[in-house]
Amino acid sequence: MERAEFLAELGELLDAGKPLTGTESLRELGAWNSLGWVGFMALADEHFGLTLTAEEISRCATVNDLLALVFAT
Amino acid sequence: MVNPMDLSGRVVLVTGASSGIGRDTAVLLSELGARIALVARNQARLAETLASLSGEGHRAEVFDLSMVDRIPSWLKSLTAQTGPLDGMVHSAGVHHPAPLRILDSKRLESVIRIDIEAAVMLAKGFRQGGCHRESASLVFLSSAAALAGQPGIAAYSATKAALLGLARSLAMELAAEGIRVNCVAPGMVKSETTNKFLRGLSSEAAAAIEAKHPLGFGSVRDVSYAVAFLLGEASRWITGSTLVVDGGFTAH
Repeated sequence: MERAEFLAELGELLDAGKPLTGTESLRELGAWNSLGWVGFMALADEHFGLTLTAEEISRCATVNDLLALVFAT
Repeated sequence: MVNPMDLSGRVVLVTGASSGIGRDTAVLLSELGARIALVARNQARLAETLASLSGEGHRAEVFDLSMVDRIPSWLKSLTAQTGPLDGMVHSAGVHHPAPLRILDSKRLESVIRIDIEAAVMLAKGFRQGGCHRESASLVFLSSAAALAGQPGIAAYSATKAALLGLARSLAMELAAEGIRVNCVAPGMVKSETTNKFLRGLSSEAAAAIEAKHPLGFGSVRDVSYAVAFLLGEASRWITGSTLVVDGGFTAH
C-alpha cells in the first residue's frame, strides 16, 4: 500500500476533517482514542500483516510516527 | 460407566481447524472418539492439527470456504470418501476490528462471506442425501459479541448475530430431516489471535476487557467442551438454541 493511500485511510479513522500531512500531533486529533488505537492496529494488520505492540504504538507522538511503524519494514 | 460426551464411531467435519477454537475442538472431538475431517486454507497448519489428533481415520482437506457456491458439491465428494457425517462445526471466521469510520463494503463483504454465506452453504451441503446420518448435528461458532455490543466490531457483531437467526430457522427447517442446528457464543478466550490483539493494548485496556468477564478470560477448551456437548447424544433434544460460554460477560 502506498503512503498516500494509507494516510487517507488514517485520516478517515482519525476523523481529521482534512487531508493529513503527517506532521499532526496525535494528541491534537480528537479521534486518537482507544477506538482510533484499535483501528490503527487493525489497519497495520490488514495492509502490512503487522502485529504491533502497545509499547511501539505508545511511543508515537505524530501521524508520521505511526507511518514509520508500518512503512519501516 | 456411561460417558454422555462419548463420540465413538462418529464422523465430524470441522472448519477453521488450523488454529484457535477450531483446532482445539478437533483435538477434543478426536479424544472423545470421533473421526475428524479438518478443513482450512493453510495446508501446513492443517497438517499440524492433524498430527495432534488422537485415534485413527482422520483427514485434512484444504478448501477455501470463500468459494461459497462450490461448497455443496465439494461436501458431496468429500462425504463420498468419509461416509455420511454425524456432525459439522463451522468455526472458520473473519475478525478484523474496524471502527465504523473505516468500515466499507469490501471489509463488510469479507466478513459476511465466511461467517454467513459459507455457513448457509455448509448447511445446504450437509443436508444433501448421503452427506449426513439419520441423526446429525450442526454447530455454528457465534460470539458473545452477537449479544453484547462493543465499539469497533460492528461488522463482526452483526454477522455473528445473523448466525443465531440462521440457526433457529434452519433448526425448524431441518428437524424433519433429523438435523439439529445450534450455536455456541463464546466470550474472549486466550488464543493466538486474541493474544496478538491484547499485546497491542495497554495493560490497563487489556485488564478492562478481562474485567468484563467475571470468570476471567476463558480457554479454547472451555468452548470446545460446549461444541462437543451439542454434537453428542446428551444434547439430542436441543435445537435452535445458543449456548453462551463467556465467563459471565453477557450476564451484566
